[in-house]
Amino acid sequence: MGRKIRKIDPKAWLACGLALWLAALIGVRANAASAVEQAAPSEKKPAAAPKAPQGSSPSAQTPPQAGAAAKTVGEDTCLTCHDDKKRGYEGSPHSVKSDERTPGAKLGCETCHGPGSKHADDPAANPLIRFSKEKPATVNAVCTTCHNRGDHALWEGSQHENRNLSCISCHSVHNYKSAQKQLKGESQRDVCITCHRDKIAKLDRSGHMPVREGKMECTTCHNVHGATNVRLLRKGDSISELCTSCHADKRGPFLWEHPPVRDGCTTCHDPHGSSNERMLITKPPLLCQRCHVSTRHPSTIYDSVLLGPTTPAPSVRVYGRSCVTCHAAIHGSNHPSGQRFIR
Amino acid sequence: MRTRTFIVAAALLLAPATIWAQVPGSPPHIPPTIVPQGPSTGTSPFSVGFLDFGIRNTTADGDATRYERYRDLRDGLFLESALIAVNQNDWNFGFAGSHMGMKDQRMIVGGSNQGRIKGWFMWDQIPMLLSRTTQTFFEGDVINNNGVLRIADPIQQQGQANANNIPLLFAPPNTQVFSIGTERHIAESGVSLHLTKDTEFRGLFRNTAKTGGIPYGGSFGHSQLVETIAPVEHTTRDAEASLEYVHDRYLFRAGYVGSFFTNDNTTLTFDNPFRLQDTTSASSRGRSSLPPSSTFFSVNGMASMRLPGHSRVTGYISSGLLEDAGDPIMPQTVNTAVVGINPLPRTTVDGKARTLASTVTFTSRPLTKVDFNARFRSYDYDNQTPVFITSQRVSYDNAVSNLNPAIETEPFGVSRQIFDGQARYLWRPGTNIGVGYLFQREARSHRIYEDVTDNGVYATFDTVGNQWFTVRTRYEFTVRRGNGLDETLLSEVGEQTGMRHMDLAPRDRNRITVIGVLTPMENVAFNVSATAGKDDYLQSQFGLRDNNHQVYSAGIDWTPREHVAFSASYSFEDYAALSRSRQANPDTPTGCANTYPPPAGKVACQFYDPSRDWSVDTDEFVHSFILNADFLNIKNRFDLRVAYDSNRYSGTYHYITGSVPDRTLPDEVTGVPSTLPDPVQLPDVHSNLDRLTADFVYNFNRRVGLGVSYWFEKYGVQDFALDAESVGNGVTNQAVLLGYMYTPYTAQTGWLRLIVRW
Repeated sequence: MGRKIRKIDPKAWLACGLALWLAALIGVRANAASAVEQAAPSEKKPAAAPKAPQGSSPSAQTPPQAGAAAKTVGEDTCLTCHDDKKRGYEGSPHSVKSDERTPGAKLGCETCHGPGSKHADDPAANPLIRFSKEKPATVNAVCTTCHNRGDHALWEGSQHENRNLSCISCHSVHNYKSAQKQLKGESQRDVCITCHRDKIAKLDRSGHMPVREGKMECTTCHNVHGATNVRLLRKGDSISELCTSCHADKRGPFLWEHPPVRDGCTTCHDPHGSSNERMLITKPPLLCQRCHVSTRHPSTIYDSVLLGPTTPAPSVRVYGRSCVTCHAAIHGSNHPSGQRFIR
Repeated sequence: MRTRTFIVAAALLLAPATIWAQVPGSPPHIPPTIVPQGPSTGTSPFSVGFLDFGIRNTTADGDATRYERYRDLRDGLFLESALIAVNQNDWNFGFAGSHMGMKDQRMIVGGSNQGRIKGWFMWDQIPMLLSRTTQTFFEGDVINNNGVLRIADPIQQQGQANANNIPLLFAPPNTQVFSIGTERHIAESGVSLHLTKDTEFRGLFRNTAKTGGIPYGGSFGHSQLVETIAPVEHTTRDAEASLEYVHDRYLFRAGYVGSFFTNDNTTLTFDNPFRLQDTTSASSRGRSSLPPSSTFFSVNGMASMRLPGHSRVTGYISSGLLEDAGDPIMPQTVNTAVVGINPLPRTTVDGKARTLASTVTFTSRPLTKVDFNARFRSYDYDNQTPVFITSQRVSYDNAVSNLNPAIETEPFGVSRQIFDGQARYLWRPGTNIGVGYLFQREARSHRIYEDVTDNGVYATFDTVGNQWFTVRTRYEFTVRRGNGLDETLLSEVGEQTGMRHMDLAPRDRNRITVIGVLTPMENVAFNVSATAGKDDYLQSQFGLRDNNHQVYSAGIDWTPREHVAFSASYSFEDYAALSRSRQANPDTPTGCANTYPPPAGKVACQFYDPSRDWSVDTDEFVHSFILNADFLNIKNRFDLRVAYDSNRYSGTYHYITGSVPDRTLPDEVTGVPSTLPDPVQLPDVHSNLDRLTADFVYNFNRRVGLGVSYWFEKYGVQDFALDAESVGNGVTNQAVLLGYMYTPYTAQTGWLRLIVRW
């Protein structure tokens, strides 16, 4: 099956890049027109809000603009009415004054909620930002003022951002339940299950990764804030590279390659869990027979007759670990006669 | 305050750890409410600690390894968790340990000064228990076997004399019962250093030693199959470093990843119980290859720039090199009687592959109500391993076959480009309507298609931020088609030319997902979700014909009052697939016609005879239930948590001879009566996993608590391939398996715990 990869013409790459750049230009110009519109103070939210941060979500709307005369009043003033909000904030990373990037080192409550002088004068008429009532884009814009690096650097345009999730979909500043990352649930599992119920259910199957045993978490493999790899995978540049970052014995390169292995582990395995042995997507030999239908034993119907007890020797192609009982080196072989992965 | 400080101090210290990760069925939970409450300490120094220890007992019927799996639940004293956190002058130091002294222990020590530096060291062990009832003829320490497994000569002698002796001999003292599984020992150290306000360095080093053994194949032919134990003596050393600069509208990042994998055993030699003496057609020993040692390096860079007007462009590029360690290619066979073997074309694999990945992302919100984003990814896996051509093969270490034409390896490579563009319209506050376009092209070497291309469109409707409900929906339709199909490549390897490998076969895909959360009252939330999809492989005469799945779930979360919460959820999953084949001898027409219908007076060769077609209709159902009840900090004394979850799986594998109505291809010949005997259907596969956990803690005061925990777990299984009832111990006159099987079990673990905090 010798065949070389057909590459895309470099001109096509150039065209793609040019198209992107043009799109960027259009975006900038279109925004120039809308900037005037956005500069006007919002009538609905006259209270102050933090300045739209550099590096914040471009897709976010600028938070409600400050009323002209709104000034900061200091944390103590806020706490005269909102003392209950200390509970989650104090002692949290946000409150650490020695870290100059935290709200605690800046303007305290008003760092995120905006200047509060007008609000202090007349709370009903001048509401501050209540994150639970804001649009996701507004929430994200405030949070990414600071959380714009490291794991959060690729939030913009990420799958979750595109589905209208905001930071407070999963996190809470004042009422978090987890010991790490200020999650709204006690564990990542509690949070992720909100939308990914099917994936969480798979973790309880008999074939599973050690997630329910506490040795792995969703974020062991995924960066939920955005990633350069597909499917928000945290490491590597392909599914295989992510998997082989722990299962390095499978990465080869082998003399004899099994193409679907190199192409992606998920061709045969379901990493979230399966009721089949080794987290296979279905039971062998039926899994293998989805591609190997040629002749002789790959094309045989392995029905109950071959299981015994009426036959003197049940077929090892059905029972036990089935095909891989013989084709053991299924992930690849360095044996000179390893073409069929038997050695 | 103290509570938060305690937890946060620990969290800051233990950022890389999952020690606090608690899920139903995980080790006994320490509700946050029992952490000492104290007066606000402001920034004054403090130290806190926590100990959870006691005595434990586990009982289990059946092979308890599937119960323990990744845990160590042995009887006796245990130290479930320990934590010490100290804060002094903006510095946090701490130590945390879990399951200390057990095979699944984890310990972390670290220190941090938030915004300046954080460093940690972690020791983590992850066992993976497979079986304690496996049995073998192999002698000695079969797990730490250094790549050699021996069987006593008298057994091989009797097996050679008569294969029927083997099942009779398979009992102690000729055999030994042993435990099989692996253990990971992970030592990890990392640092995060803020060099300046805008510049951060991150470094990580991890050493993972994996030891143990796994069941492995060792066939000597179709009627002499031996299951062996592949030694696992791996070490992987990972080094990662990145430097990131973020200032104003710019972000730059440079990174390095290095992974060094060493396998102490790259071959496995094993005796044949059916044969003592080597002959030119049968071997007393076999030798397999095991994974090669290798290294993988990559360097990457990322730049991101915020453009005027709510736009951002981000570019990422990564270049990597994967190489094997230069180990020699093993000889063709270990069989001493086989002669006439040619020298190998080369002595080393010279495995080498280069990777190049890039991503460009552009996001923009040019208008208040409109945003769009586009992402382009490319990934090249350029396998530069030289082709290995051999004109001989020694299958199963038995006879040598001279091959004409010679066979050659196929260094597999792939070049992948993905584009995803989406535009969204903000219909109402919190409600978006989106449309998108997906493009994916994959060109692979040594596959039947020169390349395959996916073109897809999708639409989304999301409404959030509403007091009463949240809805997220997505519909996707994707068409995948291949270019440059070469069916002769299938013929060359004896495959049916109508077969299409499922991972690149042309298909139409429909998928819809709906997730809804209804909150009629502040303390009650209902959630429902539904996902359905169908993959229709329109050109696959053989292979996977279609694939359907549906997942439905519903749940309720109810918090009647503070510290009391109930939740229940149910989900149903159905995965169905039809795969098609033809039971036939190879395509070597002798006295038969290679066409169907055959000419008058002739019969069609099996390979071309559609009356020998068959399909298997697979249907797998899973019902899942999760129930939780939490009563925390009741009367400032009690914490009680009860959780139950259940998984009920059933799989049917229904063979159908002849064509399957409504699931044929548009131009397919149908109505051909089957000439295959009626299959005797495989028994359905069932497995049920039920788990109940209850944790009760009585707090005498804020410093001391007494806890009782109880786990109950029951696993039932009927599996035609892997349960003992179906296939006995797996030893016949043609096969000697290890007896690695699914075993039902009922297990219970009880804890008596003392919890101390300071």
